[in-house]
Amino acid sequence: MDLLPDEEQQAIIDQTASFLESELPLARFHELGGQPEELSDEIWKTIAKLGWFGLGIPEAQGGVGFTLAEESLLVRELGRVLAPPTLVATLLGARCAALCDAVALRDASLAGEVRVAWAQSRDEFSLGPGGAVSGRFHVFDPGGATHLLLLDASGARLIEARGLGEARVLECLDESVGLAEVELDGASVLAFLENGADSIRARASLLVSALLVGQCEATRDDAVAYAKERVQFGKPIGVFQAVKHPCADMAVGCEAALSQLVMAALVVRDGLADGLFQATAAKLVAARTAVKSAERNVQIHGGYGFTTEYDAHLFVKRAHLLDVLAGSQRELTQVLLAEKPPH
Amino acid sequence: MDLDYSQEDQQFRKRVHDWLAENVPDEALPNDSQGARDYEVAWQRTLYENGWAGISWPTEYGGCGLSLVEQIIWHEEYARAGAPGVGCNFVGLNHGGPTLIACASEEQKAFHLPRILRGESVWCQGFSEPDAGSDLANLKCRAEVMGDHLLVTGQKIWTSYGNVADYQELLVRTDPDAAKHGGITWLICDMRSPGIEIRSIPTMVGESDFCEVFYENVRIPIENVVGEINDGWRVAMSTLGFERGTAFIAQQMRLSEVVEALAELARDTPGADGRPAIEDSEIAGKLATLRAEVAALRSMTYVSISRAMRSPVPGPEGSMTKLFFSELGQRAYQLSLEVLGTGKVERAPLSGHWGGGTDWLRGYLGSFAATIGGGTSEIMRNIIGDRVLGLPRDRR
Repeated sequence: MDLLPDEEQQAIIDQTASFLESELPLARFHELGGQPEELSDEIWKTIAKLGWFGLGIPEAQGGVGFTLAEESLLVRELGRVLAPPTLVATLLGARCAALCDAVALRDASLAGEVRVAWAQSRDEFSLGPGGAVSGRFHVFDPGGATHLLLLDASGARLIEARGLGEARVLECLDESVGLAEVELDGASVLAFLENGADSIRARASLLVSALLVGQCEATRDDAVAYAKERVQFGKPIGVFQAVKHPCADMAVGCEAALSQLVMAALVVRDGLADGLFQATAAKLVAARTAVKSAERNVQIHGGYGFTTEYDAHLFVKRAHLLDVLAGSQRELTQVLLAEKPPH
Repeated sequence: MDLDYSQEDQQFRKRVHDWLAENVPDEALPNDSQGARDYEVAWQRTLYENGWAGISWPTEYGGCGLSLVEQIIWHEEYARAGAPGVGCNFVGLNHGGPTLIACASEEQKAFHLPRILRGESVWCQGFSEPDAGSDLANLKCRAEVMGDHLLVTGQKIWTSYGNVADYQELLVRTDPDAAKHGGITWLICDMRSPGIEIRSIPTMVGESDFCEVFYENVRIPIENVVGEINDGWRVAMSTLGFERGTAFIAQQMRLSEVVEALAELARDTPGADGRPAIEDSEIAGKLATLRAEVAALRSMTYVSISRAMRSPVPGPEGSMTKLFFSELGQRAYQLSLEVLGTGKVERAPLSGHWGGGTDWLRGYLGSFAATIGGGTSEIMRNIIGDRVLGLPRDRR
């Protein structure tokens, strides 16, 4: 029984963090100037070479051979710097392709030639002959996307994104993430990974939780750093309990969300019976904490937090975006009430 | 990272499980203080006779000396078996005893530790005073050193089980001129000493084990000083590292049962529109959140025990678990009142000694004990802000 990273896992965390610090620092949002971020082909290929997309895929299926535990730790680092959600969709897409024996798609994903966008159903989508999908979707990070990832209780589906016809470009709550509305009319499914054959639903929940946990930690650190340096009434504002206590709550939230992420990752990895419950709990706790922490961080930054010159606003917007991926709070409520918690 | 238990640990689990299944008493905890004490010390005696007393205490002092993993297993099985709560043995086993282990003389240890383990002496705490609550170091209860004894005069308050205790860990001021945290001494006080008056303070829940204690020229032998005169603050703080989070596992698992019972209540109780309360989306959302947070609490505990396995020096992270646990429990009982709706005005008849559980109204009223006792939530947030996050401290 050990819930802390071992040396190898810590090395993954450290390498990821140092890569992100040089390639995807938070400061990049100032250059984006409120436009959706689209990663360059160069950086995408580098990421593929680092093995992120195949990290948790067994070696026999072309992957790196680590597990969901290592994936969660890696994705948590992505969350800290608000890396584009398409990275996680692509990681999940590669798994779908690999486990469905869609070898060409798998290899292209691992080689960095595939970009998967999250497709969030606007209402229930319908399945036609051969499993073809029809319905209306919000697609996040549509720019450069080659495939769409559709998740529901039955599993995960990969659909080719090219030739979808006219997508309606929308303005996303989070302006650093592109958003389009896409109408699918009998789109064919390239790979369908059934939930049950793989714990794909729990995995998707968990990896979005990992993004959220990283974000919780980043907002906590941002708030604490500001509370130490900002002086009012002749003192750093972190002296005042009205500021200190919300910071403490953010720390407790991080501890709860991170602990639950790790526990759930191990339970799902080990195939234990309460995997879906634990992963759903992880997502709910992480999403609630991320939103609350991001809001408090804005409040602690005062007038500066209200501007785009500081990063505080980015976390609020991204937290709400991630909240809807892989199960919104309303859907999670239903799962949590239906699943039996462990005892 | 893994959730695995070794073969030996699994065998240990079976041994614990089997013993508890055989020995956990069927009788409910009696309603009156003396009856409850008798029940709890008898259970402690049973634990002792079967080699289960002081599970986290070192073996050289008669404890079980269990590893952290074995302690987890013990507490998990303990909760699953519905074994009695620690009750009036809490201070002896989890605070007074560990302080003696850390700081007392060999004579003091040899006399008191076996008595605590055998359930022969019940301890209470004499720390807080009317003007020294969160600001504990402001305590004023005076003790004058008079050669072979000390004379204690003053008052202590919020002493749980003061009415049934044999001994007290008593903090007194021996040097009124020293700096605030200096000049304090940690004493073993015999609760039957002449000059002690104990009054029960009725609580908002209605139980009567909460006391204030008055001391008028109480003679305490000099041998009862633990550590040095005027070094009591250090002695009082020495137990901070003793508890590494395992002792709360059973309580946390009980909270999980409370939340499951609450889900049951929400299925059985009609809401305002006549449908079961659980179909109300607000109640459903809160219930789901509670379930998720109870899972997170358990995970937090396992993470903190994982830390303890790597580092012998505890960090201040325990304050985070305490804060999260106590407020989560309070939210659960608050939600039970929402579920009960207009029915919340009616108290259930008292069945057995008050112990929270699914007596929703008393559980709700009693939930403040957890957010105030053992350091208020506000003090926990100060500790987290100062010691976990390194925020600048207010000059206090």
